Amino acid sequence: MTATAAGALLTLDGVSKSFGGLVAVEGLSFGVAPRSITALIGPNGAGKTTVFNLISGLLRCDRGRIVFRGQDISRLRPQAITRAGLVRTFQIPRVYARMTVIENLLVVGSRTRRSAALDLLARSGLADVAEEYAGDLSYGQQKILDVARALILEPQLILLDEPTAGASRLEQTRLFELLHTLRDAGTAFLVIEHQMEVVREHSDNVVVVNFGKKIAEGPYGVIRRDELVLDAYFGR
Amino acid sequence: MTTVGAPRSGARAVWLVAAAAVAVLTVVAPPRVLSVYGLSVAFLVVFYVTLAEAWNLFSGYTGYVNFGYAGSIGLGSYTTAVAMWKFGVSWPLAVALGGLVPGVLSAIIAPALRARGAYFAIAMLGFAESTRLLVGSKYLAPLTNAGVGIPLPPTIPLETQFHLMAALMLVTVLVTYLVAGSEFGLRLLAIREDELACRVLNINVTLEKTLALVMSTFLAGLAGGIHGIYLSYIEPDAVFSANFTVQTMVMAAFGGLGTVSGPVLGGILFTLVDQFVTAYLLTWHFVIFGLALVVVVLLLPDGIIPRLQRSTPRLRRRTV
Repeated sequence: MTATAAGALLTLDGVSKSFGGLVAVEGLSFGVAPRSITALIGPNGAGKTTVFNLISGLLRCDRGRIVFRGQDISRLRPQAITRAGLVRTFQIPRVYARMTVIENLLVVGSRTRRSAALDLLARSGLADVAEEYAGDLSYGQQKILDVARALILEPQLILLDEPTAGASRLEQTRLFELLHTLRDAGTAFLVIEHQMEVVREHSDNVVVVNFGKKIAEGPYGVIRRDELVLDAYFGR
Repeated sequence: MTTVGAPRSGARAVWLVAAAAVAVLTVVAPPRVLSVYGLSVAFLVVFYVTLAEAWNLFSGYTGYVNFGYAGSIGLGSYTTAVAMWKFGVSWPLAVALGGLVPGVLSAIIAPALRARGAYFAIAMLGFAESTRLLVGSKYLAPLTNAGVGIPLPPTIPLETQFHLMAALMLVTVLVTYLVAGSEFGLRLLAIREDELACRVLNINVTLEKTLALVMSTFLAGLAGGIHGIYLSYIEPDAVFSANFTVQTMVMAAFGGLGTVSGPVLGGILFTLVDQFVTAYLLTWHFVIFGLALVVVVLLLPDGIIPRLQRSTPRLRRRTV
């Protein structure tokens, strides 16, 4: 399903960002529907992470605007955007290494009860390592903890930057089971993902970018046959 | 404040009673059993434990190394001294002002917290040095007696000075204990671990850092005020000495940054060793301290307590 501007939870409208002479994102427009998993895909250097940085307030747009739940968030600080109900994770997991796994959740979810945090860890497959230092976890476990830490804030939209990178098959399955449950309960996800199998199985909508521009948007089955996408990303 | 990772209630009660007994003994016993020299050493022990714990409260938990710590200590000494000597303020109020002035000043200079790493360290060092120069300058001479210094009348005996400093040490350790076991303490540690992640996870990093800095400098100022009375004569180079900062850092780092008991352990050990070396090996004093600094950085980068916590999961409580 393609999110229309009217029904979208998040809308990017003609967003552009340059770094000196390098145009990272140019006139990008797309939407993320409520209760959906939208995949953002494209070759390395296509501008996907820059898009995440713009949405989450770590970078400011040069042009265009970003609207979340009817509010223009283009000029808001990251913390204000999080408070509005939009949380992100990073490509390389930024867990608090010298804090335990459970502390990683308790610290971000003020008023979060320990039992709720433990429940989330159980659903994420991290219950057994709740009292271990986050820095001692495997890379895949750290990625999942990063996602769980975003989930504890119970946002309406979560941006996940390559959540399956480094995770085992079992960890990936468990993670997406959790995401599907949360999506059905009302949460939306915008996911940067390189594994096409994951995109095919789990996304409701796919946005393809190349050189900072959107070259296609639609369900996986449609974009997989798109000529531009075949040239730029999948190859022939 | 919500307590995080607290021990079970039965064990907690036993620990609380034991801690209270040790606390009372620490304040009451030394003046009754020690000589004047021994009590002076005991005073310095509780003074440095207070300084190390208060420095740790900000720098140990947030990872922002406060190189300007001596500025807060010196400011506390001078505020107390000026209030007593110039305005005839009673010593309890003067000591309280000694805490208040650096606390308020640190809130004013909190924008320096936007800088990180070496930039923050240099900014705070600049703050301490400029404060020392200003206090010793002719511009403030009517208040501070410029570089000549201020004599403080023997208002309170050494025993009372010790009681005061020991009580302040207990308060500082208790405050750190409460912070360590709270969500506020966890947020400070999270800032130390990854400030960018905090910013996108709804942690108000500026507010948390400022609160911790104000608490830390307030306590350091109080300690500086009591220390000024203990010295009975203060001058800028003595009470703004960068040695306070360096020694405090070494003590806190040796015991364990971001722990409650680490700075206590480091403060006691280093002050006793320092006193021994000063008494018997005076010329080797700075060599030994310098070597200790190198050993801590190379062999115990996290300090003793975190090393123990890593090998003993039972000790992995934030309140240790």
